Formats: sequence, C-alpha cells, structure tokens
Amino acid sequence: MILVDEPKNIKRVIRCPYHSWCYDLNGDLKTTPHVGGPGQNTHEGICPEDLSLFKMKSYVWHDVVFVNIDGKADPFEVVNKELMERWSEFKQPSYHGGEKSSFKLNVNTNWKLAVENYCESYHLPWVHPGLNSYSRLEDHYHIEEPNLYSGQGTLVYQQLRNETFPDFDGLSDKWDTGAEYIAVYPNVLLGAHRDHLFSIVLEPLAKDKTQEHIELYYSEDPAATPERESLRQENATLWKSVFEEDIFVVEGMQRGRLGEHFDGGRFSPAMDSPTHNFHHWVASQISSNG
Amino acid sequence: MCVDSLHDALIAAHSDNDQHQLVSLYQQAYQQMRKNGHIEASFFYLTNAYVFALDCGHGDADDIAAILKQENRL
Repeated sequence: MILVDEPKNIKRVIRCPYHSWCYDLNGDLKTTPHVGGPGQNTHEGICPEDLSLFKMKSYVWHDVVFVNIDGKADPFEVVNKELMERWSEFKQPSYHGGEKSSFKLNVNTNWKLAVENYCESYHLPWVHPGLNSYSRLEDHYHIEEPNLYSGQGTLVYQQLRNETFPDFDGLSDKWDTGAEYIAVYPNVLLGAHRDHLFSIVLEPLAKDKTQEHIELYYSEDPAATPERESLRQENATLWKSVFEEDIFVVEGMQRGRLGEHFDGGRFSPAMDSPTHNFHHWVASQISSNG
Repeated sequence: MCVDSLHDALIAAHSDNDQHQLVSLYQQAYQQMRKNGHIEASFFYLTNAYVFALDCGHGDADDIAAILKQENRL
C-alpha cells in the first residue's frame, strides 16, 4: 500500500488508508484498529514493535530528499562532502518561489538521457541559441567528480533584466557572473545562481518515459515580496522554455537508440567528459551490482 | 441525535473527509452504544474516533486513548 501519495501535512500519525494502521512520525506502529476483532485493537499475534516502517537513510539538501534505500552507502554529507563544500556559500535560507515556480515536464526518454543532456554544454549553440547569444560555448567549463557528480559552469550568467532578484547573502565574486549546473547522481539536477536556485528531480516512469519535477528557489520569501511575483513567473517561464528546448534532443536520442546499427556513439574528448563521467558511473553501478 | 441521523451524518463526514467531524460523531456513536449496553459496538466506534483523532491531530486523541487503554482495548 502507498501510505502517502500526495503532498499533505502529517499531524500525529501516518495512517494507512487501507486498514488504518497508524504509524507515528518515527515510523513506529502506534495502533492497529480492530486487529483483534471489532473494537479490540490488540492481538497476541501482533507485536507492534516488530512492525515498524522500514527506516531508510535520508538527507535533505536544497529541498531535495535524498534516500539510500539499501542502507549501504556512507552518509550523504560524507559522500557529497566535496560538492557541499563547492556550494557551501548557498548554505543559507532559500525560499520556494511558489506555485508558479513549480512545474513538470513529461518526456519520452529514459531518465539517463536527461542527465546526459544536462551534464554538457556541447549542445548549447545548436539547441539553445538564445542562451548561446550571451553564454557562448567558450564561456563554459566542465565540472566532474568521478563516481559522484558532473555538470557545467558558466562564467557569464546574466540576471533577467534591470529589475532583478536580491542575491543570496555573502556570495563571493565568482558568483557575480558565474552559475553552475550539476547532476547529482543518479537523478537530481541542480542549478545555482547568485539570485536563484533550481532543482530537477527526474522520475523514471518507464524505460522510455521520464517526468521532470522542476522547482525554483529564491533568497527572499515570496509571501513577503508580492511585487516580484511577475518577475518570478518570468524566470520560471524562461527556464521552462530552455528545458523544453531539450525535449526533442533527449527524445531523439531515445528513439535513435532503437536503430539497428546504433553502437553507443562517440564522445568528444574535449567536450563530453562530464557526460562520460556519468556514463562511467552508470556502468560501474551495473557492473558492481552484478 | 437519533441513530439514523447519526448514520447519515457519519456518511456525510466521510464523504467530505471531515476528520474533526468524524471524531465527534464517532464519539457520539460510542456514547449511544454504551448507553444502550452494546459494549463491543461502542468500542468499535471509539476506536474509529481514536484513529481519526490521531490522523487529524484532534485534541481528544489522548483522552480517547486513555479510555481504550483502561478497557484493555489498546
């Protein structure tokens, strides 16, 4: 059974909608209504202490819940120490931009191709000519950490227009015109700018279907700054249009893989190393698991 | 509230997913059954009141739990 299948505020318990067994917020089984017959909520054959929800390691970073299901991984903050240090300047309050700063894209592709597309800047001149007009290929650099993450950075990030969002506090000069886009393996894509952040969680729906969950964050509480709501909407619209420009690419790569002579293709030694970093991680995971 | 009215109110509260109302109505059902000597049925209803009280964070949850424990039902 799925205990919680939509966003909601949990009060004192998580209640299974099927037989109303209730678990407290630590996952311990709190009550088993009618388990011993109507009105009798205990039974000698049912030991609540043995029936807690399974506990899984989790860590919330940039409002994304990272979960280690098999429990074998080191703690998130240990595994991702370098990345967290890289973006330590953003370890400060951030605020979700509200309803218009949340959107989903349904894409007919395997989730891994969305990661691949996100990792590299090689495609920017052809797929995102609007971006490339100010953010040229040569203004980008690779980000790659074997077995952990990869992505790209730009040296010429421009804010929307004269009217801008306030910056996050205390950022170094690097972020005046810098921005970074990093895929945290396996399926989380993050973007960092002086004035906003975004996350994309790739939800694999089928081998060739992915839903992208996009959320945008700012340095200020949107409830306290209604005067910038239109600007937040404009920013969300801009990013949505950029992400939509990638859809034909990732769907085309998916379809192309069905070609009889598809052999995996070739990486550009100069431009594709962040993507290769991801491929290597995927291959390593498959080979290490069996 | 008569039995039929209580039944209708419970159905309506379930339909509306009004959990606070369900807590109140199931406690009323408990009292009615208790008064009429239907002890097993009464604790069936009180259990339901307890579950919905837990689920919605109702202030009566602990009091209901105390009754159920006292009666060795929890």
